[in-house]
Amino acid sequence: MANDNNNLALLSTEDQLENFENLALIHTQILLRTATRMCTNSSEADDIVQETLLRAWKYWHTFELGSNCRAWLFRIMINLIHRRRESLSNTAEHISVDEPNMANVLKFEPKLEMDEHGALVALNRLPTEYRDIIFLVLIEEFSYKEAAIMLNVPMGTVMSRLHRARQMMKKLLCPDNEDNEDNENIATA
Amino acid sequence: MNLLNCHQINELLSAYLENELDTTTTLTVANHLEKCLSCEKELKALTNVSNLVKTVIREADKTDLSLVARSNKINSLVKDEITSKIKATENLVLASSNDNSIKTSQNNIVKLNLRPKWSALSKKIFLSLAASVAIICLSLFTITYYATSTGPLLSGVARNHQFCSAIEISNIGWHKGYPKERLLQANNINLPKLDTLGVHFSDLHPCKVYKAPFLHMMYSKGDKQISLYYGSQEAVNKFQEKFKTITPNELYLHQESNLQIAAISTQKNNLWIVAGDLTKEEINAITSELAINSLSNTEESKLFH
Repeated sequence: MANDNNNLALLSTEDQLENFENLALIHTQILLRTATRMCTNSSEADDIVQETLLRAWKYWHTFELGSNCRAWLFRIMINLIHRRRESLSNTAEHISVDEPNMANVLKFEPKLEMDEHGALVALNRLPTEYRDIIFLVLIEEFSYKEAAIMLNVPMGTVMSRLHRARQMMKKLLCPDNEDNEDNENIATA
Repeated sequence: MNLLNCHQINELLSAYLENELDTTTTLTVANHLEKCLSCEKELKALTNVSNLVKTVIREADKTDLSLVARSNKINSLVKDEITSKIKATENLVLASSNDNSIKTSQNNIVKLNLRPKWSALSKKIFLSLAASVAIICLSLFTITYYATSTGPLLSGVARNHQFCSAIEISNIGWHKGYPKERLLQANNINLPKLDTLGVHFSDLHPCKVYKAPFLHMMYSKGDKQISLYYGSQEAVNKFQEKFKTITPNELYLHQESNLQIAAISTQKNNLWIVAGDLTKEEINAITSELAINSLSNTEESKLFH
């Protein structure tokens, strides 16, 4: 139950708009940055961010002052991006979320250098779901809990996806350092 | 969580890097890393990858100079859109300011309730009425269309119609008040008067017997119901086709209606049928009266031979 002082619905339209500008519109650049990474092109990213902000305004009266506005906006945006991807999924081939096949990612790819160019290429080769988790947790530094809410998945899934994303990146960038994979030595605490 | 192998520790390394593990697990992983060189190496590799990715992406963001311009443009578009929406709402409020359905609270929040509350109820009532009318129409049509036998369908209202298809509820069929004279005139016959036999006329109506048009004249003798059917050429043909071996003035038991019937022809191209619980004597008396009262030149045709 929101405190009345934090309830935007009780404010006049002018005050709500002022709040919206001060709290939500300041995140446009961050939203656009992430949307550009997650969408296929900048035009699509612009559309997504604009739709995100308009939707945020539509439900602005439900936003609780004092809570994390950036996370709230990201949640709306990720939801829109997922919907758009779903609508395109009939025509585009995608890799399953539940059974990521690392071999598909690594197969037939030339070895990459452990440098900036290599990292960008490796990142682009990751399945969408793994790239998303890297953007949200590593780059935007959302917590596992916040990322789980945005992606509508359990926290354990966030943890395992991020781990696998890192493993994939490591294997793409450092293919020779795989000697520890099957090490089953038991260590005592 | 005292004993964990390297594989299990590896699974936790990402969360360990982000400080997402609880205190106990963090300590377990830290203790393991102190003793296990391979896991420590793995942690370093993952850290390097993470740092590289962060650096690369943040550098790429810095070089993307279009971000500021694009975000400013989006903000401007969003503000315009929101302002126009607010103005549209305000105009709507002003235009309907005399409407009682607009309620303004103390906090200056305008709630629009332009649709009357009873609209949903009236819609339900309208739909219910429409459905009822449709069901009634369908029922009437079904009864009328499929009333090939009055026994099962209209037995309650037409006990005297076991033999014919009485269409009592249709405009094109018989109903109370239908001009009898017109029916008799159309068939070019007089109403047979059988009062001398104690058989009294009650009503008549157009009907069908085996899909052939007949005029059904209903009589009664005490509790006994007697029916006379008159058919023209078309009825003759149909009836002849159905009862090829029937002999005029002979009584037959009609299997479907369990009625005794007798066929009489007064002219070559028409047909009278008497139906009811009759004796041979009664049939003879009725046929005699028919011969007297009906059109002239009565003869037993060879219709059924």
